[in-house]
Amino acid sequence: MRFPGKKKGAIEIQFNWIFVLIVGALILVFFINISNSQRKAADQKLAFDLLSKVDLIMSGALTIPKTGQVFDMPNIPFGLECSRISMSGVSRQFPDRIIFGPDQLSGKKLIVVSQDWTVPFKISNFLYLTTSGVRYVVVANADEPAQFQTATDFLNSLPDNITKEVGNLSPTNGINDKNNYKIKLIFLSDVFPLPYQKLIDLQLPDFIKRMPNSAVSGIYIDGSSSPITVRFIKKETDLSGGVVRLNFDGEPIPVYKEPMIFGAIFAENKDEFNCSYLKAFKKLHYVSEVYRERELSISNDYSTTYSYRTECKVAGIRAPEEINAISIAATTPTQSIGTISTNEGAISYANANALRSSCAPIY
Amino acid sequence: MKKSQLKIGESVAVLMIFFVLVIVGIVFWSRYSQVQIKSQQETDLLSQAIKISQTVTFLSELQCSTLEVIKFSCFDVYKINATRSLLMESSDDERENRTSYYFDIFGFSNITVYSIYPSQQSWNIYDFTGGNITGYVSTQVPVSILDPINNQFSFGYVNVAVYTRKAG
Amino acid sequence: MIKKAQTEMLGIAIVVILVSIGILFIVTNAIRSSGSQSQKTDFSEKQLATNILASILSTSSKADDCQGDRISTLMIDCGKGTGRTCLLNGNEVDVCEYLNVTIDTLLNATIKVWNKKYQFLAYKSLASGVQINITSRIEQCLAGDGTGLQYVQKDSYYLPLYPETMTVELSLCS
Repeated sequence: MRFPGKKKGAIEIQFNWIFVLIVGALILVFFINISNSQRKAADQKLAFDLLSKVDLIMSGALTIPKTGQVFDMPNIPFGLECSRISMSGVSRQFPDRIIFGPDQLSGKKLIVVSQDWTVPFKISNFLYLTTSGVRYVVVANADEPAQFQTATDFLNSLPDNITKEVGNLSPTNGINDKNNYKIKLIFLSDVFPLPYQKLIDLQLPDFIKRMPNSAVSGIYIDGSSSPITVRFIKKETDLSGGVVRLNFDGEPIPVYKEPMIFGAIFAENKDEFNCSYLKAFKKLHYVSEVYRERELSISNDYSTTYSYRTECKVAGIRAPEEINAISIAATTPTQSIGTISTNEGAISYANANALRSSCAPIY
Repeated sequence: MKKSQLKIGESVAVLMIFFVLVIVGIVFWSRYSQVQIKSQQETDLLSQAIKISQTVTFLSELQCSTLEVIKFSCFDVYKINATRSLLMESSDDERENRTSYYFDIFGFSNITVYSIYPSQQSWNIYDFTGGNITGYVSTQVPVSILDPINNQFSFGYVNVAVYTRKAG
Repeated sequence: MIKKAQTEMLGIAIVVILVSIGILFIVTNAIRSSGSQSQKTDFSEKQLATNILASILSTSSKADDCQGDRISTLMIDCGKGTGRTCLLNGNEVDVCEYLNVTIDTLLNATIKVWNKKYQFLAYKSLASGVQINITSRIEQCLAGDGTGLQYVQKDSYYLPLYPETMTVELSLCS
């Protein structure tokens, strides 16, 4: 028996399927969009959780200075920029912390070191962030034992857990490739004096030449000058000859005390170091203001309420002017390190006198 | 014709019901998310207050110290007064820079140190509302307060209140 | 006709399966993302116990009451049973009684006001292992059935009594 409209039924089924396919596709697209946005949210949540973990790690390190601690991390790189860490579009600011480190922290081991910066009272903790994938090389020639020993002594003063060594840059018998994603070359003026031409002409191992320019950096620490200066070094490709070489990046920067020298070693480059450097001196300025006001109040109380404490009113026990001088000098650090150093000595002397007389210490 | 119209009508009705169900689901989901977001905001504010209180506890401008040895959970009373004077009372040229510097650290918050025993006293060392305050979330951290002249310790706490502000 | 119905059922089944997978995915995400205890809150509870204990022990008594000696010193006197007395509201009392009242005052003005449940204990262990309580509990941490302790954050300090040791312990319940 033939059914009238059989062709119509056939067409109807096809349209039905097309309809189902279109609607099915729309529904799939809808849920794929939801899952994509959930995935992005999950990535951001992971980034948020990891940055929170790094925050907690840094908080912990601040309470135990002069220690290097190693933490296991998921192998997800995060960025560091002055006082901001970021990952997958999520970032965290630490306006109160002074942090030095490479611009990208990548690897399974995060190394956090903190050191007190005192002038002479504690100003702040400096935090140094790095990973096991960053290699620090103090450049020295093993053929010159005295200089090699100096380099080794300096190496031993660096935190224990970082990837560090003493080595030379000879292309034939220098340091080998250890597959690090970043390498920092440390030149000490006592060991490897570096006039400009010597730096430009320095031969580099092949693996360093092959590394991206941004992955290789250096620092020249001039201990012969007063104050001690650091000068950053970058790797560049000479456009005219295609020659890969090292070159200075900017002028020497005067630094104050070992924590700042370490900061220059850990910092990615001159600009990143400068950011934390200026933050440190800004903090010095504001903390010194507080100490100055404290000194003036204590001096006033010893003259009035506690006037019977005659031993605490003598000269050489309080130092508000010296602290004020440091506070002012901190606003122009590159010209005033000498002033800071002189006044720090005077404050330490006055503090010792105050302690000896059982008076309120300056710090 | 009628049959096919019926069929299409049937399919359309099914789809309409389906989408109505999806929309109802989305409305419930967004209501639930709003509650979650509000709760998360409060938790975030509390986290912020705790973070600021931890920063304050370790601030060089307030901590007791003798020869660089920092005493745990201790504020120097002369430093408290000096910080309060510089942040809340001074009118020198540096005031704006100073306020801006500490705003980066403390944000929209109020930080007050209270002494409870043996004497009662309070020092409001930082307060920045910025207007449009709708409330606050606060946290407290106990501290010792040292008088360095007499070497006497008082018992007190620092109260950190983070303001919640109207958007816009 | 039968084939058509089967086809339609298949179409509806596909739609239902897709919707179910989508809802399952969303619900799973929602469950996973719902709260875990904030690390920061845990850390701050522990720090609260540490801070309070450190601050209490460092606190100096009133100069007129107990010569301005610190609470840690007075606790050692109490633990050793020296018979020392202090002035409390003008009356001479045993140093242990003075400590009870003073520590009460400090805790009442802080963690009790902040609505925290806590337990403050100071005790010494004799060589025989017997514990003697020196100050009594102020506000107990209790489980639902009235026994034992809920989950706590605790910090302890040890004061030398020579030859014994006094343990001072503050527990916060959460």
